[in-house]
Amino acid sequence: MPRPLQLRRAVLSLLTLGATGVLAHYYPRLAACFPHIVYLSGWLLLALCLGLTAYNLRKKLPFLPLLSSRVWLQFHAYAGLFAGVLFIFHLRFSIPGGAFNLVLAALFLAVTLSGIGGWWLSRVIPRRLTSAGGEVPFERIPVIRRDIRLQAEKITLAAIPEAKSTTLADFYVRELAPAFAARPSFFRHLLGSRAALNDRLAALSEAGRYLAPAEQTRAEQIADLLRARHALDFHHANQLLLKSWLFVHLPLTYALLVFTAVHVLLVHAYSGGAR
Amino acid sequence: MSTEGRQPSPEFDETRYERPQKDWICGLACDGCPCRLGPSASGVCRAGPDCQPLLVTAPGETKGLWKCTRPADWGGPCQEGPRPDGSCCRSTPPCVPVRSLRARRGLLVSATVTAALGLLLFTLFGPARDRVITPGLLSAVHSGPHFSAAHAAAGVTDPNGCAQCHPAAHQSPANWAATSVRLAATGALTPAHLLAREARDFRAMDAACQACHLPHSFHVANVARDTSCSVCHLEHQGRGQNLLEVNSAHCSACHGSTKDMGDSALLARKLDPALFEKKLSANRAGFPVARPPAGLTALITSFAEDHPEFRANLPGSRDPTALAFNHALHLSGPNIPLLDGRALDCRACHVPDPTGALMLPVKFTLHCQSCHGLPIDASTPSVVVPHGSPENAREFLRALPAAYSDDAVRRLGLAGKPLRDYVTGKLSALRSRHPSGEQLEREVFFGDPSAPVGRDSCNLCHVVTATPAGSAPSIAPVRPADVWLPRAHFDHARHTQLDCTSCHAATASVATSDVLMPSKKTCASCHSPKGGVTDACTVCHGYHNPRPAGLPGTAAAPLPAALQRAITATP
Repeated sequence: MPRPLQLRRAVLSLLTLGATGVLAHYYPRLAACFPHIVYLSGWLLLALCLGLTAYNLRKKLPFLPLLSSRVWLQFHAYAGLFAGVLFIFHLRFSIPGGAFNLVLAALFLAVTLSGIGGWWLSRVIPRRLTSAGGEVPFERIPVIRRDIRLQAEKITLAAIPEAKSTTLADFYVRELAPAFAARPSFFRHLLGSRAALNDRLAALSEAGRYLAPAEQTRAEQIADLLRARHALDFHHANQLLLKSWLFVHLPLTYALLVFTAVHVLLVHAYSGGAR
Repeated sequence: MSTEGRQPSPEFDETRYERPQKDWICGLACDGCPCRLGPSASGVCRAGPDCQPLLVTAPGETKGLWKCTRPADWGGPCQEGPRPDGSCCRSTPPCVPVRSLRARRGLLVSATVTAALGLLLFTLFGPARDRVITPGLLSAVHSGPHFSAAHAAAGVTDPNGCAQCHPAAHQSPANWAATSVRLAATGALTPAHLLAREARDFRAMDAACQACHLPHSFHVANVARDTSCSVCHLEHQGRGQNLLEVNSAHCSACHGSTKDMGDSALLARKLDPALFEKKLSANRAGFPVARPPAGLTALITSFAEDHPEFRANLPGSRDPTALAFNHALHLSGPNIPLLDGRALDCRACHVPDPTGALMLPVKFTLHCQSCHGLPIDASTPSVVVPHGSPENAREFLRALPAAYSDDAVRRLGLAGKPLRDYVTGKLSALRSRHPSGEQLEREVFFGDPSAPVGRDSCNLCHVVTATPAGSAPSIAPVRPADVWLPRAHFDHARHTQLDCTSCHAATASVATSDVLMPSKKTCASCHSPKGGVTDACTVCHGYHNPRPAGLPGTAAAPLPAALQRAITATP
């Protein structure tokens, strides 16, 4: 039996496909019957845009009993796709003329594409993060990063009296301390590169030949912390990307609404010859 | 799920959850050591002592002892305790709070909206407003210096001509808003109007169009739902836009509508049939077809599918031309002589007019006389019965001696006695075949039933009727139709790659009454989506017709004289 999420996904996919089919089949016929079909499709498009934007409002009002945010997000994604199709019909399958209309169309296209891109990211990144393990809230990452660094320093310091040697401590100060203190590399972790981690582990393993037995035990603990830090940086990069696409989608959405309002104004004011 | 190779989740204090909804976060958070208090809602650092020590004075004591008041969730009272002066010994270092990710996003949204509003305000109140908001360039015929000159001549002072069609063009955005609200609430763009099948009221726009295009306001008398100019002729589609190209969907919107055609049929039955007569140019003859009482109101959605058969081809339709002509015999008969060394073909008689669209009328002198010379006797082919009038023919027959004499003088240069002998001989030979003048006339007009096929009497081709004695026989006038589809236009010049007989079944026609028009199916074999050649309505039909006299409002105002002159002067 399918889970509610999969069921909703299937139903919404079918609804979107059905609505697109109905639109493609009936729009030309309706266009022949209704002289104002462009107005009608425009108003429907505006209603869809406002409905899609309402998702952001819904997120700000979590106490209202208006379905769960997950349901809203699913509706947002499928309704957004349908709005893209309707937009093409609204444009009569042609590139709009005039600077204002071009900007408006470009904004709509950018919002739709960024939405599709964000949707894709929200499907791909969580799987990557689950595969990598080490789930952690984004806001806690700096604290955990600091904890890992402090733990590494503590282990290194503990090795000195145990082994009566500073070999591991010297190696830590020289090779590992900058790595634990450094900010994470965004693009390297986004691409899933493990080269830096492998280099450090290899260096630590190489240094193992010069470590006392007590230091070697501590070195293994430090190696675990290096892996933990790598996983944390991987989470940081991917979660940051997951949050960053909204920096494109949301501003463009509100700019689109502003331009749409003026578009409605112009269409009505100049409706003497428009259809 | 297998957890092999996956990192375990790191341990962290879940009670210290940094809420992402906050607008400001501690400036030390990025280093992983944010203070417990965090910045204020307005982004002010609230770092300071961990507690406010309390002076506890035991009974009998005068100085008292400072006690740490750090709350339990901060770790409870510290071991060190307050300083002797009563200040807290632990103090959180101050920071510069930073905006959270969400707050930065909100800031970006605000900045983008502000920029968009600024750009729009600059555009809508700036000098480039018309250029920016136009949905596309005007067509070439409605722009450029010639159009400006015509506008200037008409007294239109608007520099861009926008206000001529859009009254709101030079209004302020505030007025646009008022207009929009009015139209959407009570005007022509209310939901009820938008869902109606009637086009909105374009009278103001049509009036602007017809300021120059006066004759283009009429379609047919029984139109049920009149259409605005701008429904079919879409402007603002660019300089290269051809306003004459009309989408067939605009035609089928009415002609494919049961309601519209039903209304038109009702109207057609009420109106005077004379209002629907198609006026042809003076030198053209149309094929007479009866107009259906309900008018041309068949439902049509496409030419190939449901366009009715041409009315010239309807069952029982026949060519009424009073002439006996056998197309099959002339095109493929065994005894037809060669013309300039070639067999007779369609183009020998049917010559295109200067435009190439239609054929010129067939003339006896040009197309028939070379074979049908009408000689009075075979030995003198130059003496021929005049063609065109039975009276002239009879006068000619009654003056035959003079005709022979003139021919001898002109052709042989005879005079005096040789001339008289020549004429006498010819008349004698004629008299031997036709004992009397009456018999000669009868045979010329009605032919000799005993003569072999191929005689050239009048009734070979014409319908000749005997009249009371003393007057010439009557010959039915001949005026073959040259416009067979009066409601459509056909251009032969565009079809020269086709053989005539591929459309006109002339090789199988033996009677004049045969209608040799191609069927609709023949045309649709090419003019259809399957045939690959355009099947647009406007290929054959025009929308605009002159308004017939007798309809209300026929007195169309003439163009302003200045504008008429400007248009005339426009190349």
